[in-house]
Amino acid sequence: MNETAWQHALLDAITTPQWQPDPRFDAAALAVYRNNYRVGLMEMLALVYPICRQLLGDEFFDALSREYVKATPSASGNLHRYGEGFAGFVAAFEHTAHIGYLPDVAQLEWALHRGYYAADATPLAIDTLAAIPQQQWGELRFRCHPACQVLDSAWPLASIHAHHQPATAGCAVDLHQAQPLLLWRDGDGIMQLQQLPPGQPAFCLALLSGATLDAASAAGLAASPAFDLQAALLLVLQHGVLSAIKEPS
Amino acid sequence: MTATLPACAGIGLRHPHYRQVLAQQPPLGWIELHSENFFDGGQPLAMLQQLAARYPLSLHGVGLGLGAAARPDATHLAALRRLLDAVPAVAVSEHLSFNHDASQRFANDLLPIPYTRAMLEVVAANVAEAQDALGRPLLIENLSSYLAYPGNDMHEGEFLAGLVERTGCGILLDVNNLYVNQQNLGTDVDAFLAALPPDAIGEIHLAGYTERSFDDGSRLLVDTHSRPVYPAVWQLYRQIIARFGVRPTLIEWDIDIPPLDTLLAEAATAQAILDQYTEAAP
Repeated sequence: MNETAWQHALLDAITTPQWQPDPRFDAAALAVYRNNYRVGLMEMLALVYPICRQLLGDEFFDALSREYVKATPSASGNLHRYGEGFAGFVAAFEHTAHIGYLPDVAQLEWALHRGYYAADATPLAIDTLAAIPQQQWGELRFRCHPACQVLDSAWPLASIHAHHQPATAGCAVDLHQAQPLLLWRDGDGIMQLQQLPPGQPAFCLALLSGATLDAASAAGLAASPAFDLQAALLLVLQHGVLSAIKEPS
Repeated sequence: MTATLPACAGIGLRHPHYRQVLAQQPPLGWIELHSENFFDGGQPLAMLQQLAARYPLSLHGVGLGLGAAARPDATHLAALRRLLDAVPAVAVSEHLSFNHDASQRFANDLLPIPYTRAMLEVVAANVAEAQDALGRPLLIENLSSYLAYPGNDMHEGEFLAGLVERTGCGILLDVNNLYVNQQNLGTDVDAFLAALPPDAIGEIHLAGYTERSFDDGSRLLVDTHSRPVYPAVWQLYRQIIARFGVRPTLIEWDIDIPPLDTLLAEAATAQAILDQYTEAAP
């Protein structure tokens, strides 16, 4: 159908980075669509990555996001899905590759963005767990809250994040300190983050990927001999990381 | 019978005013919000549920692109269905536009579509697929466009009428879009309106455009939703209400969003026009 080809050509003409005059499309009209396309995606990036923007400065960030848009077509009708690959892009981009923490900051901002909109889930009640004989806990697997994430970063993400929040703006950042993070959504729907002690990142990552409590505990111990299972379990229950006990398959 | 929006004025509610409207609860006939901003869950969905408990709610989608030659994105449809299951929306609308092709490449915009017999069958199948997936009829909105397919064998009004006939969908009539198309593309407004099945018109949109001039002296009205409704658009709105009767009418403002009071004043202007024709009715 010619109509299909025309739509295809219009999408090409709008999304291609290098515009060339196309006799099928009026230049002024195409300029409006091409501008809408780029501005819409760049505004979304600025919205999702405010800390990256502060770190790089508005002008540099906008130039960077223009390059990202050139390299990364939109893959969803939902604009909120745009920008997932930004962390990988800044890690590989020649003018930002030297800023070691930037990809992890971008990853944190993407996780905060997705977590904010993530589906709802009720936290696992402690009574539900308490009703199960403790000797069976090791075999349990859990469904986790969709907003929760662990970022096992070698950079001080909590400090960098705090440095860019109004209430704690300008607080000290020690770039030599690793701060692996747990991200969760509180009862008001606000994304929260907390630095995890040694062993807990591996423990939480294992739980999030559906491992049994025994396997998660072993992962925590393997990562650090200081791993404290009781403290780790309390933390994930307190923050609603666990949502339900999975039925044995 | 399915519920419908009240035939009075409402406003498009955007991020800067969410909290103010929840706190002050101004007397508004109804509100409309963009579907995609509430996909999945969290605080946005909780807030939408609070708003829906207070006002009749219309959900307006910008992302399905049902006018594509390709089928609608199943992931997007499923997310919209989950939203409709979570929130009691009185009306659900999409645009007569496309935003993707079969390779799942998207432009997050409302792009014009060919108005041809062949295209009508494709778009009707898309609308039917969406309505089946959502379990309810949609209102489909006429578009402001800056380009036209060179092989059109009908106009947008006839195309919309064909969609209504084939799918049972309703029509969201955007008066600003119609005016912008008349100015930019020479659209025949009378022919457009004459083609519409009056009973299918379930909602009306009003907004402001921006005029852009180009080096070659040409000008383009761009549907920016960034200004008050222009006098010429109010005039066309009066004609439309006189012709079709009162309809739920929305003030849309998406860029450079003014204080809530400005939106409420625009809505009051629309309401005053609706009131004239409500009283005039037997």
